[in-house]
Amino acid sequence: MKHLARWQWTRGALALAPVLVLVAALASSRAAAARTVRQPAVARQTADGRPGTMQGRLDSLPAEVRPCMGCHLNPGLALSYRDSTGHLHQASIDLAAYEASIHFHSGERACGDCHTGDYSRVPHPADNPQPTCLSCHDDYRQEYASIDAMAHRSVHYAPDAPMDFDCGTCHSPHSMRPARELTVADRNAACIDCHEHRYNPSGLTLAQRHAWHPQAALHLDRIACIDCHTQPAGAGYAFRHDILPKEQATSDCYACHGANTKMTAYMGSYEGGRPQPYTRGQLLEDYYISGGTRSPLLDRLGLLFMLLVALGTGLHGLLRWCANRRGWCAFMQIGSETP
Amino acid sequence: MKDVYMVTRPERTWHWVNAAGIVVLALSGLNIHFAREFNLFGTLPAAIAVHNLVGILVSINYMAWALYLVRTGRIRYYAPDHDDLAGGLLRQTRYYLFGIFHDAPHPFEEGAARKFNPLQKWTYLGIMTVLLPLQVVTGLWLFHLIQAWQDAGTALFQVLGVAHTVLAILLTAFLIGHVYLATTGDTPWAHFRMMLTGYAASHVEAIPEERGNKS
Repeated sequence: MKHLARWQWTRGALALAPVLVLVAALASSRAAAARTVRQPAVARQTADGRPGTMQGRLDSLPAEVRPCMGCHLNPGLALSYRDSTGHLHQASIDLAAYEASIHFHSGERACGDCHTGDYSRVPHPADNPQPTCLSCHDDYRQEYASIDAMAHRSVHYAPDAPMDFDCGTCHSPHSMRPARELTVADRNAACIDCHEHRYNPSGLTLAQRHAWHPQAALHLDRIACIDCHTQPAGAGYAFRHDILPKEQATSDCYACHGANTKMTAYMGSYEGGRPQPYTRGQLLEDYYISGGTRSPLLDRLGLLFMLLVALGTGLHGLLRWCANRRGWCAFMQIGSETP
Repeated sequence: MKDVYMVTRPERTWHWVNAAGIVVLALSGLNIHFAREFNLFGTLPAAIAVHNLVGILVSINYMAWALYLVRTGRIRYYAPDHDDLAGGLLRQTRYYLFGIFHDAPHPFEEGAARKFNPLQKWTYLGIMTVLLPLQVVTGLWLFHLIQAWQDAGTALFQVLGVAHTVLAILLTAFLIGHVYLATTGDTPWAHFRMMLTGYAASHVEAIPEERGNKS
């Protein structure tokens, strides 16, 4: 009886098996179908969460910038060109950076607000007027003139500079943000963008070029390039534009890590708000001897003192050796008596 | 001439741990102070880590040594007596300046009752009761291990930082003189032998009245 029951159960299971297989196959094919539908949708999303297709991206743009972005949004299009000075213009726009920029938020966000001229033809006429900062910011003429004068003392304006500079060479108007919002990385990006990639005659990486510094990685990470590559001489704005030749950049620890030095008077903590001067406590944390309390005069006196002690003991030892008349002095017949 | 047991095993252990520690502290301190010019430890953070660690070891070693001397009463060897005043200092100085070149006998020979000549005793007293404790305290304070007055402002940082440097200069100068003077025993190796084995060859008996009156 028991035997028969087991057989019937087994037979039922065998009959059910094809049904189960069929259900499983159907479910799996539906899941596969769902995957093939969903996968491209995920892939078409960009990092900033926008639709990844060109049409999707264009549709999501504010109407003011939509007409131009059909071409200028596409980083794959060869829209870069060199002008007569050798300056490489990147004509594709980083939309996320533009939308975060002060120019976008100012309300004058349409491309035509700055780029006046005929842009109906492609390629655009070369004689279209080039917008400058003063095209809009005429009320800052005096301040800009001061910055411009400072910039003209920089290596970027040296007679042998490889190209002509203007404000936009370093500060792209399409990603311009208020200085108080910038982190150290934002600030340094303006320098690193060129000097790590586009203009790097030595071929060395940033870390290799600064390898002489005992704490290179820490400084590259925490302070701005201009903190060392400019000097706080003379009146001017907090953020200097007279980038000096590398030989004139700060390389002495004591120039920053000391009382009333560059670090307290000139540099600042950039993160979160306007630059604030470091406190001495911040400076001395972990730095107390490598500059924070270092006195060059004391260093010299200390080394001289130790040298004198070493010389004194050395001389005393030499005299002792001579005096025992078995050493070099006897050989040279310097001793008064023979042994 | 007989061998007298002068330096006990704990004293010798303390001495060589201290010696090695101070050499490492001096070198890592130089590395930290002249980070760019003297990069012996590879990176500045490595030198700082070594300096902090060895500084704590030497501080503990110092406290253990002081405790040992007090508990065993061997601190008496550091106590100045009549011989260590001006007269004794002058005799010892004269010996180093003149007598030593003419094989004159040591004015204060070490024996069971006296370990140090007057110059040595005052120097060791100064080093061990003033310079080294100050160096330990300033070092621990700069390493934020002493919490008192950490918020006293930057002036104290400046003063103690410079004091730590000055003390380091004095201690390093002492180290050079100490190693050299260690060669002025009966033979150049006699004092090194004593600090390794504990035994010194001595002419003097352990009678307080006779000590130091050989010349």
